[in-house]
Amino acid sequence: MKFNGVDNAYRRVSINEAVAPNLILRQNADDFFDEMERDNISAVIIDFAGVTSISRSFAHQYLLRKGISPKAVKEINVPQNIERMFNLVKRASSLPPSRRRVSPPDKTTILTV
Amino acid sequence: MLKVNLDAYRYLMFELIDNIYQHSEFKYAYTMAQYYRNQGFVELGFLDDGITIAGSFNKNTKANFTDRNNWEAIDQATKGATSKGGEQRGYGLSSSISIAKALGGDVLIVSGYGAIYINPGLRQPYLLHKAHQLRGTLISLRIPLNSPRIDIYMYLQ
Repeated sequence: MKFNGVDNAYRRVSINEAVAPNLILRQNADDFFDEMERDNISAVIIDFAGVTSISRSFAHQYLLRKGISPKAVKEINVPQNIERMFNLVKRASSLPPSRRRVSPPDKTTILTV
Repeated sequence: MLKVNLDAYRYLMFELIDNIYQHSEFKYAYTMAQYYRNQGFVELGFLDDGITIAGSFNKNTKANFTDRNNWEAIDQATKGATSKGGEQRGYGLSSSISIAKALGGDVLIVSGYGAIYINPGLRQPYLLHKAHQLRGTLISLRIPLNSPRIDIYMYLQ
């Protein structure tokens, strides 16, 4: 099988087995990429079979690390709900910074207890 | 009934637990969940003994929240402000509150000298007396069991 045109020069990783079926913590994404990037194999196929859910935080950190990884990373068997979260994070990343503004506190009575 | 919104419950748990690791610098942290069938709701709780929301802002940004306005730090955090750099940070708490409200639920956040209670029709801040301060952060959610099914991705934009 060729990956990015290179025969047999890739590694296949099950993220379900390497991390968990539920991908939760931002730190888990960092740890996953740290481990994956230890060897000299230039390409990695990440198999999402068996993954049931993903947090926005994990998805964001995964995409950040993928973007700066020295390895070529490709995903397979990505469940629809996981794909939706990745797409959502990618879309949000494409918004210009000015779109995010935090409104000041509402004018309301502060209760003291 | 919980299975109808399993995605939503998972999202709430995942994001609020990750927030504890990312922001609180905790020594101890607790999560709890209780199913009240007869009373018709589920309660989720997240408690840490960390540096508080105001403390995290003061430490990592140019903010200068005092004991008198800890509630403003909580208010800002619920609206997406973050003590971490990067444009894609700060969604965890705000999106969790959006989802909780969509489920018809209530949210109570207590941190340091401040608190905020949020339900679909109300956002009430509190200033706590010194005797009532929480040295850490508590987030408590009460979600009705008869919540309509929601698509969480509609609330994560």
